[in-house]
Amino acid sequence: MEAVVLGSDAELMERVKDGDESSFAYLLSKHRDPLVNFMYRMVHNSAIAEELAQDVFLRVYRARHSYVATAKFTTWLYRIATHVALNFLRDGRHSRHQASLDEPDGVAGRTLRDPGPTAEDRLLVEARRREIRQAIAALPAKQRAAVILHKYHELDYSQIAQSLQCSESAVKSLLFRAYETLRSRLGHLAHSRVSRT
Amino acid sequence: MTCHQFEPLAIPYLDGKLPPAQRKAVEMHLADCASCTERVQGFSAVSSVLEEWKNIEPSPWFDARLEQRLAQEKQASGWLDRWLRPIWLVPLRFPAAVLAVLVLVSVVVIRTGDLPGPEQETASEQVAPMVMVTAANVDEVALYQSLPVLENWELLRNFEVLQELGSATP
Repeated sequence: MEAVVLGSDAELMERVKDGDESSFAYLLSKHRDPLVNFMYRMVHNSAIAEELAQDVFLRVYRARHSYVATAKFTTWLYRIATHVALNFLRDGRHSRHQASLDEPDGVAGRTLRDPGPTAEDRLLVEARRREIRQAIAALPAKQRAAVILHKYHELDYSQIAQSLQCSESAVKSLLFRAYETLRSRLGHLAHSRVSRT
Repeated sequence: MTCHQFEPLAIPYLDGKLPPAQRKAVEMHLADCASCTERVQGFSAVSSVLEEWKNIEPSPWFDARLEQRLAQEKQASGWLDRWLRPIWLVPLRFPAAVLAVLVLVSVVVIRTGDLPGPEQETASEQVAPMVMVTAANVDEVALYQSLPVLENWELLRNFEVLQELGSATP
């Protein structure tokens, strides 16, 4: 069983600098799922998301000696992650995997956490999720990252700004434009959702 | 407040992150602007819809693969450490020897620095000594070339006389 490691992420990272492997293992286990999901929502392919998340952890490990606890560890981690994801999207490597948008969440062998009670409900839920995925995938990369960090990772504007290397006001504008686009693309889902409840 | 001024405040307003004064200003604007009110309601509804996109779970082999990549990373950095450590530890083990080597290298560098380095000289530095050397060479060469003349100076001095003598000879 893994040893209990106490302290903030920044303190743990300081210990990693001193060669404490258990602190690094703890940081990995703590941030693994959120990071894989961030990458998955950015690139829409689970295998690539895992590869990129591993790249991020490797970069964290390589940069452990240069880490300075002036910012939250999460901010530093997502700054690296955003950089890796945007680079991947900019390189155009994602275009070879666009078919994955039509795959359901949780590819073969993966367990959906919230399956519908019947096959019909599951199909309906999956169709709605596919629309959401496609709407987010259609956003420009920076808007997409801003929405994902804001909505799914609950980073504040300052943290998102640091991750995207822009100002806080730029983040608010990115979010506004992204939500405007999403409103036009997903508005009907909101209405149908309201009518069902 | 105009609709344009409202735009960057829309999301912070929905997040409840605005200070009271700004929040009040936004609410006053929304009370007068049906379009922005519709926007805010739409944003809120979309935000709820986005929650339907649930998290996935990493594959069972994620940890094993990451461990493998980390092991490779550590092995690579360990190899570097093994090669670099002896270099960095030398100053700690043999300070006097290292100091002596440094002094020797400094002396050599300084002495070498006094010598003209043809590859390091600039064009202007190269031209100036060449002119001087050339000037000196011209003088010397002129001197050397005139030595036989000087040696036969007496002969030359009487050259016209000799010619006259020669022409006078039948």
